[in-house]
Amino acid sequence: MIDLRIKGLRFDYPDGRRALDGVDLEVERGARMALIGRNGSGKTTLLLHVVGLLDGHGEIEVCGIPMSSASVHDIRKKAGYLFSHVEYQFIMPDLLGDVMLGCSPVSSSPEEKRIKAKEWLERFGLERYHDRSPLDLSSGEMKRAALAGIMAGDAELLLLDEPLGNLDREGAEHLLSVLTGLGRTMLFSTHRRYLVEKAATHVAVMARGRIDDVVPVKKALRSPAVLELIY
Amino acid sequence: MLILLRPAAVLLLAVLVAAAPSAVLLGASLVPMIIVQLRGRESLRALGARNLPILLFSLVFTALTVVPGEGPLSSKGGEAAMTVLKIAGVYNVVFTGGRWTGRRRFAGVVGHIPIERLRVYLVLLQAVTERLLRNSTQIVRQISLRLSTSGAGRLAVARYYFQNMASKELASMRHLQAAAILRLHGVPGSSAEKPRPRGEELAAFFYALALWAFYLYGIIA
Ligand SMILES: Nc1ncnc2c1ncn2[C@@H]1O[C@H](COP(=O)(O)OP(=O)(O)OP(=O)(O)O)[C@@H](O)[C@H]1O
Ligand SMILES: [Mg+2]
Repeated sequence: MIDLRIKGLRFDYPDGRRALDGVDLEVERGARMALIGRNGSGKTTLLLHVVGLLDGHGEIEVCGIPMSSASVHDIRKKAGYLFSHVEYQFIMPDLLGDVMLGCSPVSSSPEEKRIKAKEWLERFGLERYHDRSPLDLSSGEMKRAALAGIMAGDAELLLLDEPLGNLDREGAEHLLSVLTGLGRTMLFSTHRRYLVEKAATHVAVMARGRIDDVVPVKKALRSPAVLELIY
Repeated sequence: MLILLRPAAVLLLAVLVAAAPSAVLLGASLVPMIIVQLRGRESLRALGARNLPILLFSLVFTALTVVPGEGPLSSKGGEAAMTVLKIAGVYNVVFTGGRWTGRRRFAGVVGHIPIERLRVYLVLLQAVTERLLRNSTQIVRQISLRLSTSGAGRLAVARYYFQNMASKELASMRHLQAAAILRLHGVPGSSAEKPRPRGEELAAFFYALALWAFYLYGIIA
């Protein structure tokens, strides 16, 4: 089963700059694919396409649903997105409320949502912060809080833009243990060797708006071309 | 309904401060929030820093209304002073009252609004405002690190501040909009559990009601 399939995706920003130049990619269910490449190679642009925030030419299929303006809402329920500027992810004034906002199914009662949200916060080690503003958290806590919100929505495919950001070693380890324990399909952009080694099953190498190569992580970590791109 | 008691008390007091015809009533309306403020741990310095911009704003604002006026300046001066006090008073009641009310309760109050669009609007408004305030502090910090903040330097600071603020705000709104598109499948509700009534909010609420009654029946002029 393929959770994400992209064929011939092209995209130009309004100023005419070509950001994606024929991307082909397949991510199998359960795979955790690291998307690596130089700054400006198009990683963020590609991830934004998968949730329909950008609209280029080409085919995208998420969990078996082909992307179209009619299906984009269903796709957004299946795909969770972690912004690299994670502080913009939060909408509600308090953390518990924010995680509840992401809870699915939408129809469940506030009481059910509250229980579910509390469970996720606990799983991410944030049970003490229910009342706090998400914006008051440290950067590591913020990443985990945003992920809790995504997971509460039962996302099947996780798209993570630079999930490690500027986390310290302990924060990175904590986040990784949570991430790998989730058992979800993931596509994450990163420049960090640590993340590739510990979390990825596959590595996709991006350059100038194309995906040059997709390889299993063991092989990738022996390739000089890959090691040049991560540190 | 109990969840509305605190915000209702704050609202009643804020409107009363704005409407108060005399310094006595103005002072009386401020009492509950002064008590809340005293119980909190905000330092005098922080209180001053937070009030400085609003005092400057209200001074400039009221000065504009006084200058072109005809007639003796002395009578106008009294009115102008009241206006300054009122603007600062309302700001402080809302700010301190907002803290006293708390984030969860704010969300709770919004969650009670039966109109879905209004609820979404208020939640997003809150999110934008909170970021605006945070960006503002950060920008002031950055600018004051880079520019000398004395004399003519201040004008430059003001100019850069507004430019910077506007562009930050646009970027912030774009990101927030993207997040809202991705995350708002449902309708934002409240995370607040049923609150237990506490003496203080009952006291503040009835104090505010009593002041309103005094005001309306002309017992306190
Ligand atoms: N809003 C925009 N308008 C115009 N051009 C843009 C915009 N956003 C990105 N670009 C350009 O598109 C290209 C791809 O950018 P993208 O953000 O996808 O890169 P990236 O691989 O995520 O880089 P990084 O590793 O720095 O995050 C870059 O050349 C960038 O300058
Ligand atoms: Mg990027």
